Amino acid sequence: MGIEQLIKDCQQDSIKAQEQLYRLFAPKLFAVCLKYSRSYADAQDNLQDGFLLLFRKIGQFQFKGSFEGWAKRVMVNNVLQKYRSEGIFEIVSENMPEEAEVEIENESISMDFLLSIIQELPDRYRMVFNLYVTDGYSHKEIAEMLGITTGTSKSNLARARGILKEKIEAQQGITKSTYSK
Amino acid sequence: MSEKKNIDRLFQEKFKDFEANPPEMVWDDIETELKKKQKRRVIPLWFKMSGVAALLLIGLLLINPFDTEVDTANPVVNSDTNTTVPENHEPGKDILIENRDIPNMPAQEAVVSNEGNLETGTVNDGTQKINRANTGIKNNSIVTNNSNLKSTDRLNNSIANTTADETVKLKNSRSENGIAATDAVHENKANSNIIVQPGKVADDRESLPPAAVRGDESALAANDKKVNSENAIPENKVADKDKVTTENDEAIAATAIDSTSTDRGENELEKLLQEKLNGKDEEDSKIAEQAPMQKWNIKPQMAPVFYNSLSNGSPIDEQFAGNAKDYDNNMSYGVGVNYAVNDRITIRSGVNTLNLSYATRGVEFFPSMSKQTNNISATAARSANFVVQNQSPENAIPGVSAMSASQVFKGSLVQEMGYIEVPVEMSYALFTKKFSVDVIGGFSTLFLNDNNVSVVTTQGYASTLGEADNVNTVNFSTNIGVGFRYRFLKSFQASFEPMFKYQVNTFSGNSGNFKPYFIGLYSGVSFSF
Repeated sequence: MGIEQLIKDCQQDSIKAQEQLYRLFAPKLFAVCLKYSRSYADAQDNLQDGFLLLFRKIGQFQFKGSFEGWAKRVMVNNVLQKYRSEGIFEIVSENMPEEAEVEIENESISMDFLLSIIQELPDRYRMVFNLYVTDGYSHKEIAEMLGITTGTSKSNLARARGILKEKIEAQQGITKSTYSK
Repeated sequence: MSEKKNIDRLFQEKFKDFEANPPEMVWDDIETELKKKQKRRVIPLWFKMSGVAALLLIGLLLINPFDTEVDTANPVVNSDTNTTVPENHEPGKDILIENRDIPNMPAQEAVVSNEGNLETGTVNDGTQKINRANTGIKNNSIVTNNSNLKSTDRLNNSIANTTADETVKLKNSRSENGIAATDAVHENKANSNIIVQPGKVADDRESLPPAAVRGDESALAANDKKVNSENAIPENKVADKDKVTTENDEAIAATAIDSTSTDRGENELEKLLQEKLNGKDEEDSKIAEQAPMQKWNIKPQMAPVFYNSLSNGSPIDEQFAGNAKDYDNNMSYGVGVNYAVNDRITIRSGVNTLNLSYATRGVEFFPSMSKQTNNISATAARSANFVVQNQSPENAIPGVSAMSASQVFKGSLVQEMGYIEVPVEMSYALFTKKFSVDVIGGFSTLFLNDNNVSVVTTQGYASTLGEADNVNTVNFSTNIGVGFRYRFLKSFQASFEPMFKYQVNTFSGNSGNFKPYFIGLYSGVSFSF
């Protein structure tokens, strides 16, 4: 069964189809949830809520563009919505414009470590960093999604980078940090 | 080896193809949620249905297709028969069913309507009289056409007589036993066989000169009036009716109807009239006043409401499932709107208020800064945050409880819910006399408009906690009941309706398997129009 047929069946609320779709996309979407959430447990919750939202809204999918892209957006929006409703975006913006580069040992940095330091970021830094760096949104888009200014988005991003850099360096045991140019 | 890397690139590379398998329990949770939703989806269908039914009712109110006005000036139109028939056809239903195979429907309906009129007594309403006359004209004018009668006077006679004859005969058949009834049906068949097929009816009638028909009509009306006024005096009636019947015989001879059947009709007629003389007239004429059926009916009503749960649960939280509960009896007020499809089937709707109050006894509560009670969310009006829990034996002993005894209050938890109830029901009248009994079934949509949870100490001090989270804003009930109605005036009926309403979808989430129902003893006075 093609993905289109599967989606159509999901639109008819077939639980079987929904399960298949879940099996197909859960690993990718769980990854999204992991990096946008505060913890593994949160990510699980967000994946569950995100999928429920996705199944509820699947009727709106118009078969334009990739389903994966659409599904990811649903997941991200779900997380944003959740943290926004918890009112955690009220962080005072700080100016810290800097480019961050770190020295890393080969491939020694584990996925788990990167994930954990992302999750440890304050909510908005995490959102901005993920949206901008790993998912390729522009500052303008991020500003709209989060209801902040592009300036705030930029400074949040810089701050996030700074925190991540510190943590990576600390883990690597390297105290020396390099500032670009 | 170490290399310098831009943080962005590091993460981009690492996360590019990042996938992670979520634990299996996530899907299990999703699946249960989805299934719950699908189950829930059954109910919105009701919602749609009630919407449709409401629209239908409104549509009926606006268009009123069953209540086409009778055009007395133009009796020759075929549709007249059809439109007047629903008003009258009900009392003669049995006969109608028996005669269903008879091909000539207009004639049949006319017969039935006449029968109905007689059955319910003499018809005093002018419109009805003319209707009867009209239907008479239709059938008989055809008959006379067939027998090539030319004289207008003769025509009139035969019309009037045959009309009377048919009605009387049918009435007889009703008062007789089953054999007689079938005989009457056979006679009807004989009559209707003479009468032309429906399609031809119109043609024949059109071929009648309009003036003649008009003349017929007025003459008939006059005839009818005479008959009616005669009916008022029972003594005269026998003689008159006899006269009518003898005239009938002539007319029937002219229209070539089997004379033996009319003879029998005459005998039966006498029996009937005798019966009528024996005091049936009074009652019948009273009922006859109601004969033009009033479709709409509005009824202010009130009901004491008794409610309980079919299972041992809690309306607020599972932990209180085992506690004793009080159900305060309440009153429900509202207005019912009924539409009579015919005189047996009625569509009912309306608006009622409904207040329910469940008190869970044997709880204790204490103020807390950090904890909350399940399913209760605070409203702004609330002054203190209480944690409500079951009274446990340990806590009953001072000192064992984590709280000092003075901080813990014992009492009960009161959950109040107010609803606006919109029922959509159908009732079927088992019999329709001055006193009627209905069977009622349907469902209600309940809209939550009041939701309040409070605690009351054993000393009687009360404090509002907030509102219950586990109550759905829209829920439903399935309703069954019996209605007793007594018509004490022409348009007024007193009614008493014990209704059992089983609530569905009242609670969301875990509410300890509480299955509430309520019984309302609705009484009211309805006005028909």
